[in-house]
Amino acid sequence: MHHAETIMQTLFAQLQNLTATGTNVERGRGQPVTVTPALTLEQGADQLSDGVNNTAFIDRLLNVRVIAHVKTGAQFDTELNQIRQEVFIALMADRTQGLSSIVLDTIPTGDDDPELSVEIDQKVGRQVMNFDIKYRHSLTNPGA
Amino acid sequence: MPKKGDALDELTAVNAIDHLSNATATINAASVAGIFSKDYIEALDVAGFLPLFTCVTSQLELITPQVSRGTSILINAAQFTIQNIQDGGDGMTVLVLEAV
Repeated sequence: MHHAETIMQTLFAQLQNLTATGTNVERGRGQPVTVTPALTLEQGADQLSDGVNNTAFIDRLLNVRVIAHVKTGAQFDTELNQIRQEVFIALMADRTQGLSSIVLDTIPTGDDDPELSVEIDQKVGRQVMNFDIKYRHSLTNPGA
Repeated sequence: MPKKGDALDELTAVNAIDHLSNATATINAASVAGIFSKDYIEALDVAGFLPLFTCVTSQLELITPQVSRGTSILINAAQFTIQNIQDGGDGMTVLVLEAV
């Protein structure tokens, strides 16, 4: 299995059962969110972090987006802030994500602007949290 | 000041609501007949519905205290808050609602 897949599965597990979002977590969501608050985990680019500068391994930066979704009659960004705090704590408690043989570091790269829509029955908010996961694999096999 | 055609607009609106009304809303203890719709809609990847209540403008204007943004409205045992008041100028007003 590609290390990127191992990392995504691990992050998905880390994001389960947070206080605000519970088990409303989906990876690569294809359909609209029906139960809120919720999280969506998305895989982004997977760049080489330092080029190929040795004969043994390659270091990569896997971009991961965690998207918070809320629907509320209350203050939407207050709910988003609570979720952002819980996600940050969950992903930064162990910067190797328990994958110390693969993951070198978890690097938060900032959160996007919160978005608001009032086009449906309650205020809907969304905010994207960005992380880069620095990991290492062999020069010949990204799963080793 | 009422303008020419206002009376016809109101008559048309009252007749339309009489024939098409599917709900009675309670607003500030007053009952108002109207057309309630809640079509499926999505926003920012979240599914929901758009609750609208269409009624005769002159009936809304009789309600005291005056109907405004934030006023509570009860329709089919569901509580909403008025988010926007769209006076169409044709004797009908559309209330854009938010679920509580």
